Amino acid sequence: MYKLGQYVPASSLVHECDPRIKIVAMVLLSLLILRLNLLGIGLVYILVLGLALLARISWRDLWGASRPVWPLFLALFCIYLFFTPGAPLIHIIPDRFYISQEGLASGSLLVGRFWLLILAAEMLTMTTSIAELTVGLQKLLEPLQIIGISSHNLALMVSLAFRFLPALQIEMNQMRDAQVARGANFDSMRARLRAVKYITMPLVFNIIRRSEELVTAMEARGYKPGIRSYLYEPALDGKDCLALVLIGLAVFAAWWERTLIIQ
Amino acid sequence: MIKITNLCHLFKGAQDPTLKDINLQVREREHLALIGPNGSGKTTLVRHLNALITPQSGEVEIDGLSCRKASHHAQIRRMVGMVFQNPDNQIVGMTVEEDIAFGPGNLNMKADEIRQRVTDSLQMVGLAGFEKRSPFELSGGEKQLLALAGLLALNPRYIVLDETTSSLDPGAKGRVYDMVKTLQAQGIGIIQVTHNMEEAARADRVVLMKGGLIIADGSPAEVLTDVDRLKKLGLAPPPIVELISRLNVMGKHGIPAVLSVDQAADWLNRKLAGSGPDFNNGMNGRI
Repeated sequence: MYKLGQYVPASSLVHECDPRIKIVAMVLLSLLILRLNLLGIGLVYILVLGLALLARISWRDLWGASRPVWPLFLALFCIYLFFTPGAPLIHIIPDRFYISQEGLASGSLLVGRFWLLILAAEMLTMTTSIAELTVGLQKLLEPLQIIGISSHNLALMVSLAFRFLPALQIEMNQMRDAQVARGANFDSMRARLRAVKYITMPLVFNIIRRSEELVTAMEARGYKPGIRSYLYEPALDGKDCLALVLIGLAVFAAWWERTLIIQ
Repeated sequence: MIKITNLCHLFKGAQDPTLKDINLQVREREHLALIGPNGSGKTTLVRHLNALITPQSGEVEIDGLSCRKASHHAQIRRMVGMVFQNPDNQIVGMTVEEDIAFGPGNLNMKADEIRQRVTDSLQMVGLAGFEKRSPFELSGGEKQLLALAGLLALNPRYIVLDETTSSLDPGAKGRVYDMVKTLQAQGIGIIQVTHNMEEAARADRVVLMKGGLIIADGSPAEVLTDVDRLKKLGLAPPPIVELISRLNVMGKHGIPAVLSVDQAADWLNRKLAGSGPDFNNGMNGRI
């Protein structure tokens, strides 16, 4: 079942915060993270982990949710570590193949940044249900109405994309099981890669068929593009406004403090 | 009342029309079963009722509202709910309550009203307490009940069940049957497309389709006891109906048409009680 950053219901200040504030905070933090140096990133880690503590999300869950992307991080780190020219730190093959100080710094910064981006996104999705996220997004995108783009349609698209994730996973597992039942072997990485072509095509066709049936079911329940209402209607309160001001100030201060920004 | 008059439908690129001059009326509170072999036009017909297909020729009216007018479609879709065969492909929300809220949300209702309808619908189908559950964690029967709850949140006057129970186990089918009876008692008309003749036998009226035409329309006893005709169409009559039919052919026993094991047992019990020792002796005491 779909787990990456799945919503963890709980009662906390972070959970109860207006989804619009959380989305805006996530976007601001993401922009900031891309500009921060190692010290700045360290400080944002403390902030995110502090928020996780406040939201009663265990660090183990946060780590577990981001575990699938770690092989990619490791590969990126190794590329930076071994192929960035600079002052040699450790020689593997004397004068030809070495780990440079710059490579270590750039690799650490890159992985630190990407992981922090993922942790920030996880904090949003683990403390905000899809319904809240959809409504929050819809409200934030409402100004797009001026140029003829329906925020309701965009929000529905996002929510349907989330809805299809578990369906996709179930479908893929069923197809894999059907192939195993017919003697397919998924033990080695090579066999798994070979099986991709046998799974991808039927998966795509099935998803298209499912989408068509879903559209019919949606129409049968009175769906038409445009304005609609939601079970959850967010309302900003004092705590939300305070959270927005605090986040805004923190981001502004970090941006202003030159020692935290890459020069 | 649903009123279908001279309805024809030809799919793009097809040689033969899928529906040929269909005339049919469905009353409120009526439970109508629509049966027929694959390709007989059942699904095309019921999709007209919800304005998913607009009539090409002829007319479909739902309580006086014409399906031909696009301006009526939103109201018609509120009046006629539809549950499809595969429950997974009807789920829109990530939680049970979000899924049920989808229909009322389309009607732009206020959040409080949506919440009330979600609560009421879940209670009606017996899924209260499932609000925050993921629909994907529910059993097949529960998913179909969820689909029903999603329709009930729109306060429909008619519900179309398009082979809704075909992939369910007997227990889950039983829950859906009970729900159908409850809804009917509340005044909702049920139009049930099915390949299961025992299911059709539960309806008030059965309409048999073949090649885009209605070839029989009557009570379950009238339509489902014509065993030869059902078999010629590739439909399996209820086993008890076939048994009685064979017994009548074999021994001219004159057993009345029965549609269920309960009816057959009742008749046989009365016969045994009324016939005295001779009847029992005739059976060599094996009953």
